[in-house]
Amino acid sequence: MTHWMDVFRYEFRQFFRRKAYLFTTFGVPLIAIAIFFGYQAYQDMREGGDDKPPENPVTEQTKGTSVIGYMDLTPDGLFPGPESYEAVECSVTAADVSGLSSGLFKRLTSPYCFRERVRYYETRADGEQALDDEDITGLYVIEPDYAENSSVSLYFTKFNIQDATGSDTLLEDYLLSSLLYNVEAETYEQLYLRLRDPAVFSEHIVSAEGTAKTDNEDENMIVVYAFGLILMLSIFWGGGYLMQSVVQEKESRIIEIILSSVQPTALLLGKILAMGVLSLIQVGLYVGTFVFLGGQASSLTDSLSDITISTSSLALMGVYFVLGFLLFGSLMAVIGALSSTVRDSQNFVVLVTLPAMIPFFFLTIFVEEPNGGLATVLSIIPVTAPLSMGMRIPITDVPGGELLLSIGLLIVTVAFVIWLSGRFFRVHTLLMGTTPKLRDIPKLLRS
Amino acid sequence: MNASNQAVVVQHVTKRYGNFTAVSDLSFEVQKGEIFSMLGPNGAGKTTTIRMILDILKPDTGSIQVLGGTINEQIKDRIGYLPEERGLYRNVRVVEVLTYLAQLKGLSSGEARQRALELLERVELEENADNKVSELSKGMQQKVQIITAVLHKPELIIIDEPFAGLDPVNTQLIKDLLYEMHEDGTTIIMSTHMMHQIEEMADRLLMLDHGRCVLYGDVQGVREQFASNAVVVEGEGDWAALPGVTAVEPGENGREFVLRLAEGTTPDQVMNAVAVGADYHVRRFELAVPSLNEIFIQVAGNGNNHHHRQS
Repeated sequence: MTHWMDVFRYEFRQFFRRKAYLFTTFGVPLIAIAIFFGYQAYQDMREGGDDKPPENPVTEQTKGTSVIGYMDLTPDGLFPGPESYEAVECSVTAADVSGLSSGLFKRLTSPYCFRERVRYYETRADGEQALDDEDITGLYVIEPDYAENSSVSLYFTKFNIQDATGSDTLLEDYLLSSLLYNVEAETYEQLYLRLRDPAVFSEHIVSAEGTAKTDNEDENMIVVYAFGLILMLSIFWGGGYLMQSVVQEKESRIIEIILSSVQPTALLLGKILAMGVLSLIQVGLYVGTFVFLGGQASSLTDSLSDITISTSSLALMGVYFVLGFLLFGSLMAVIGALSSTVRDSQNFVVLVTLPAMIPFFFLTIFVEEPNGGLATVLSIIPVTAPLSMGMRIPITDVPGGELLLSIGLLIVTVAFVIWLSGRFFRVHTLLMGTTPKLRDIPKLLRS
Repeated sequence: MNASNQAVVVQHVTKRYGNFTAVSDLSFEVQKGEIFSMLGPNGAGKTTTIRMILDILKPDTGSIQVLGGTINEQIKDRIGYLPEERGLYRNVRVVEVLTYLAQLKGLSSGEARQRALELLERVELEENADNKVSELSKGMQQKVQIITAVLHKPELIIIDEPFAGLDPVNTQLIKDLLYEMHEDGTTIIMSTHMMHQIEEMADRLLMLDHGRCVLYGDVQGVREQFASNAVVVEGEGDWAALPGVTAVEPGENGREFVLRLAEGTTPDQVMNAVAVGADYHVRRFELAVPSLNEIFIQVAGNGNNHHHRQS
């Protein structure tokens, strides 16, 4: 079988130079990186633009520059202004470094330390005037029934969701530190932190064997979604271009000239490999960009901070990507061989893409039960295996036997589909100028 | 005939598609270095025969030898092919298409590109080398397609309707190119409906009808085989008075006459009688040989008469 390398080189060169490929492969990751760093720069700018470490736990917990005001209408005057509290040092001093005590935490979160961002107003008129003058972004009124119902009203002139969220948290922190002001320093820190975050959820899935496994849904959802999407897009993109390349050669009638020089199987092999390598470059860049941005984003978003994917997982995903591409690429080539025009071929693409996308419809189940029954079954069925495994491998340990069975079945199916596409390619291309009917398929296969 | 002198040997080849027999027990040979023409009405089996020679299709029965052996990848590299329904990658530069197709015939990238540029210059398309195929006119595309068949200097060129879509100037250009290759010893098999091109270019021909061979041999021999006992004369004189002339019919151009001769009378005897007759002035005297067009219509029009003539 000669000349497959010539076909590979030609197809690779032609498609690599296409604007659409260059944009989707290099442009999209660059745009993603630009947007990410642009957003980060914008955030930095909003926060003052300096990289100084946060002064104290208050500013760290309530990022932002907005200043809020409040009025206390509670009968007992539960929340006097920050300035009414004992003045303390609100930053860490050299003297504190030698021994970080629980007293330090209480000092740094003292209501006094909120004075730059929380302002107390005696009357509503003063508060509203401050709002009008844009001295504060919101005016909180602690209602008389606060002790019974935690009632607080917020008044503002223009709504900004980010300011609103930050301001609410700021007020909550201030109220909490005020309420705990008289608590002993020894228990203050624990109490403050527990009341601030009363529950941090960690889900445990009890399997049939009675063992429990801890998963982090937020991270898993992001990883599963990202990897599923990357694999699916790259496989379908590559397969789609392979199909287009085959149909265009048929439509332009150059196919007969080519087949007088190259065996159909060699032609197919060259095309599939070229599109596979192009897709591999694409998926490699996408995964690399995702992992890179994930690492960078951990400073902004806690949910991305723990995402780590082992080398062996990446290698396994590579295996599934290659097999998946060969499977869907060959199926797309069959569609190309059976279609007389590009438009015809588009009608049949859904027959391949829909079954392949089934795992994506069960994204939530894959996240919640990555080793559950449905995920296992879909990982073994060859058509759904590449995407299923691509979504499972980054977040769970797939049993070895299951991997072997899945890969084995996939390899057999890929070999069969490549043989099948070779059969259709040869016979149909030359003898029929129209798309065959369903009843013609067995005849074409036999001939 | 020595086997080494044969570029193609087809022996008792049959090809069926279901119940339809496209080619039936076909045998013929193409000699090395000749221009061989295949002709026949649509559906006669020409394309199927060509595809079987090129190993694109396998015959059901019979055997085909090409360039001294059963066709394989190495032999394919020595063949140039241009099918009737042909095309090129539309959005690719001309020189890149040519280089790729020549690489598929075993040329290195550099060699293929160099040769492509030479041939583009030869057909006056050197300035279009970097144009996309879609930017060329239909005639220009035809010339590029012809180049794809000859770029790798094949020993055997199989070309279907080589002059379709070409204007007279470009037809002559391509004809000269083919003649040049023919002089270099290249064997050319061409399938065409343009009978005058066959009469002008081909050494031998094969006419197919319903998958069978109905005419096979050298072009002049076939024409003479179909010639009736008559001569064509142009000049003045009492043609009917000549001995052995049974009838005088006006010819095609109005100036010539067809003289039908009696059985046993030869054209030489008539020419002698004209030469000695004082009242005859002759500007032209020739055998009344039918054109291939007339033979084609005569043979192809008689679909039920599946006979095999060989001259």
